[in-house]
Amino acid sequence: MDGAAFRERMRAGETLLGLGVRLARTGEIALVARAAGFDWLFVDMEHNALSIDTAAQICLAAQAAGLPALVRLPGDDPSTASRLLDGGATGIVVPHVDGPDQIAPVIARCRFPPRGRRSIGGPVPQLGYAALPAAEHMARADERTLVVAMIESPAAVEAAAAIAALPGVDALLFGSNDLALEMGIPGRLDDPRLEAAYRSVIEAAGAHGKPVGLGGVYTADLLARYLPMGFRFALLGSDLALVLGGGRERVATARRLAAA
Amino acid sequence: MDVPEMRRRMLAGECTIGFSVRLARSPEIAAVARACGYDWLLVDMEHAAIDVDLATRMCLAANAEGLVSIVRPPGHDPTICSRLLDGGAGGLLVPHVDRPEDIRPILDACKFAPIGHRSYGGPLPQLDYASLPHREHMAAANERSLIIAMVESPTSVANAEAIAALDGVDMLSFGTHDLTLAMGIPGELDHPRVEEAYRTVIAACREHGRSVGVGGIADRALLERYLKLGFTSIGIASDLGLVLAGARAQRSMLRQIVGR
Repeated sequence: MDGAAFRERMRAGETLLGLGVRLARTGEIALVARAAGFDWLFVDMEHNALSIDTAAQICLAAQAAGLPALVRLPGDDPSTASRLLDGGATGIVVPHVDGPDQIAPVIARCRFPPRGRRSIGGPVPQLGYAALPAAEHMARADERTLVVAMIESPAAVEAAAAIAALPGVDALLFGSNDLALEMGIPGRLDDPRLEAAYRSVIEAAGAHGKPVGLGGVYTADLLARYLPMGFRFALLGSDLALVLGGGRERVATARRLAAA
Repeated sequence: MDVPEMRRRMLAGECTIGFSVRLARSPEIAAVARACGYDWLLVDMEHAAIDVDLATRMCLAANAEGLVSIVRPPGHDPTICSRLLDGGAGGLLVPHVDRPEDIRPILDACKFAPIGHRSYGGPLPQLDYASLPHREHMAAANERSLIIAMVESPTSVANAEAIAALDGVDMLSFGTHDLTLAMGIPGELDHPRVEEAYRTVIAACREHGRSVGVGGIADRALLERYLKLGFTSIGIASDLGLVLAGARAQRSMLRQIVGR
């Protein structure tokens, strides 16, 4: 699946499920994610120390495995975004976007003229290193590139329609934990105010034909409640969280058995 | 020693001693520093080409050795600082803080509410990956991160009181070499203006219950004179400096024996 197919499948009503990379440092994590049935990989540079080079290598491995890899930037630095796209990322996730002005510079560096001011860096992995006429290269690369804005504050919820209206934004993604923090209800992922925010953003983005993703919610009861609201993609947690959760459970079982 | 312990010891007037990494690229340097009896490890990203990922690997190794891990970021980019803390750093030594506004965005990105707006990135190595209720997680993470502002210019000395007053700043620390450069007395570490600056900043820190550190003084007589002023943290050894000094001394001894 490339970036264009990712966009198309969301439009067709699928909910694409992603795995976050927090612990791994090799591209093998893409093969593991695919084997587990994930649809895409979320390579996190915000809460993870991995270098831009490692992030790009994981993206290349994901592409070879047929999984789109979206990289979450550490902040909103446009040059980091364009280097990641040049290196093989399928898409860019910009954290903490409170309004359209904040993400506009990143979009400009992720889209070729006339849609933006991305610089041509030669053949790109996303196009199989094809040597295409410039106009075709630019159009096809743009079509395969995803830019996702994260909604993580009450201000962002307010501005969701304006952010979704930007032509260069493909989707919005909730950072539910930070949104709860900023709402003054840390960790209260079942709070009705959070559900109200989901509803209002899904509606605002939908009016502009943009899908919305869910991040930060991992329990079965809450996923059962929220996913049917119309989320078209979701992040199901990180490799670290899964190792910790699985590890704790297995140890508890073994200790119980050993004590019996 | 962990961060709360280091904070407590310094506030009780005990002098903690650090070792800085400028040359090494293996986390093994933490074990070496531990074997030599140092209290904390400083990973220097300002004057060494270490990236965020390697810096956090060194921090994890230092934490495991029972040393407090502190990273000096290359500048004032808040996203580098929060990623370092997410990856395991015990503290940040922020260079060239001339005014409160230089460090305010870093405090905002590195401290959870009520001090700042740090983003939630999941379980932390500093908290042994505990899955805590968010309010507890936030308070514990704030308690376990040490934020140090470096005083390296006359402007900074003049603003020391305002910097020390900031909620979330634990300590001010001198970069004495850069201070003499900024004062127009490069390398004159025994200049009365240096001692005057030390006294001014120490008084400001006492006023606000903050610790004070010093770096850059290697001469024994000067150290004896200055440490009496009330510093509670000192960093004078870098791996590069020690290798150079040791290698030169050995080369000179051999020159006397072999004649060249």
